Amino acid sequence: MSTGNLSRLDPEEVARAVTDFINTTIMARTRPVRPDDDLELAGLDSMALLKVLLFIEAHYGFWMPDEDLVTDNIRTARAFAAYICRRSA
Amino acid sequence: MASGSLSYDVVVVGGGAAGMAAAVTAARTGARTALVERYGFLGGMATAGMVSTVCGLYLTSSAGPPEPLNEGFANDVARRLAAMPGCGAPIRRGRTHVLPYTPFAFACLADELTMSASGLDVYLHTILTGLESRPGRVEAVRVATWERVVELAARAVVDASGDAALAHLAGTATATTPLAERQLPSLVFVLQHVDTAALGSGPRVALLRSLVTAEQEGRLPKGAANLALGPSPQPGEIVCKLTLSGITEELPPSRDFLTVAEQEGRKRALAVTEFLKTLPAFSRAFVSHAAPQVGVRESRRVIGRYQLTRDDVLTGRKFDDGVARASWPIELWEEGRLGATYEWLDDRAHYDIPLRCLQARDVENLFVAGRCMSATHEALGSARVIGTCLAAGEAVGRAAARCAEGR
Ligand SMILES: Cc1cc2nc3c(=O)[nH]c(=O)nc-3n(C[C@H](O)[C@H](O)[C@H](O)COP(=O)(O)OP(=O)(O)OC[C@H]3O[C@@H](n4cnc5c(N)ncnc54)[C@H](O)[C@@H]3O)c2cc1C
Repeated sequence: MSTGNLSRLDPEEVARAVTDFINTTIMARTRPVRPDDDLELAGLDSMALLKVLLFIEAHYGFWMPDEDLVTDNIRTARAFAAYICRRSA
Repeated sequence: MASGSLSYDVVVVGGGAAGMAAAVTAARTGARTALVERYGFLGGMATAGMVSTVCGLYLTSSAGPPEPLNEGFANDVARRLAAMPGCGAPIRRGRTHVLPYTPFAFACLADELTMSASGLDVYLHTILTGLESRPGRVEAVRVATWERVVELAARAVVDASGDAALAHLAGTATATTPLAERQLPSLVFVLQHVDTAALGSGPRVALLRSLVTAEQEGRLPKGAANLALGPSPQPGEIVCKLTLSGITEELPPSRDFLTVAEQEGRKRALAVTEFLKTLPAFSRAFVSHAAPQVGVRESRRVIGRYQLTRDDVLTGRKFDDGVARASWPIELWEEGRLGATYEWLDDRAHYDIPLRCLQARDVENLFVAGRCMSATHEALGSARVIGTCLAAGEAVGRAAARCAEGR
């Protein structure tokens, strides 16, 4: 699913979409992950981070190249959101 | 027909983490004890499955140093294991810590612990083949050693087989989650000569994505992308856990699930390794060794006097007959999705393993330890880890020795 008009993305909303995805499909039900939580310290392993990435790629409709997969872009849901909004601006 | 008979207070079947803890503790308590293990070394999944990190030793806490959950046997094993060659200090994983170790060190430590316990006879290369019982009591277990078939009379018995093999023979209640809903097995194998410095979290994600893409495009066999890259204290080494999805469909009677899993696991591991070698960090990598058996997370378990539930785990429930503390998240590796799902406990929370989960319902002298304890599929996703097996195993050893004494 693509949101269509990427230029109107709100970082808060994107961060929420990312944490919602994590909290429903990886960290089932209890102990929700928050936008500023360090994802690895919250218990996401590499495969879980990949699932977040695949969600973003499917939901926002663009590919995150290998060279952009650096800690600054993937450490928290908010970092992912900032990256997504930058890319779509 | 048994060619001999020996008499014990306590007989423990299965020399994994739980059985080792139970047998050593029973013997230390003064019980004449036998420990029966089908392989030539102790440790079970910890060695034969090469899982390579001990989970469940420390409290859940998002920050700060590791804090042991259980004193006694589990903590003693943790401290001694950390000091063995090739092992190391606990490292953070998510909201808790794990202890990395080598399977060889674990097996050596298990030898030390069992050989220094007086009154404990270890039978390696020995398989459980049957038992003698009367209603409500197991009288003896029949085993085939490398040299002979022998009957081990027992006042109390412990099923630490991981598969509830003894409980099944005794006819007590057991449960097995249907194959399609059961936790998936994984084959663990080790790669050496990897440029691990080049594999931070970003590059790992990129690597896993390239595996998923290759599988989707048919360049890797189905299921081969379900890979986890574990830490190792050894330089240039990576412990790979390949989770075996997609083989749970109904098999013909001539095809045993574990046989298919072993064959399929090796096939996929070989293909994944060949693929990884095309990436710079793995250009010189090779498989140094693979686990002697596919790692089984879940199989048959006992329905004891109480069944631990998901709610008990997540609410950190305490029991009057609590004998061990546990705090690992509910970690489920299931069909139809990559990787695992996790449900964490709150920071500093832990739950108790009640003794009733370690006692058969209707066989008075039958105890159960480890991953075949009485718990639901979900609760077992937490309670099955090695640290919990060690702590609960110790409690079972004590309880079985007491039972053998007639107390
Ligand atoms: C792939 C995988 C990864 C895992 N990762 C981790 C991890 O990182 N950390 C962690 O703490 N836990 C992990 N676990 C879980 C953990 O390893 C196991 O749940 C735990 O080791 C089980 O211990 P146990 O003693 O109950 O059973 P087992 O280790 O299964 O031991 C049972 C023993 O009984 C023996 N036996 C069985 N039947 C017979 C018979 N008929 N006669 C004689 N002997 C018999 C077996 O050979 C075996 O030695 C993992 C599990 C798997 C499968």
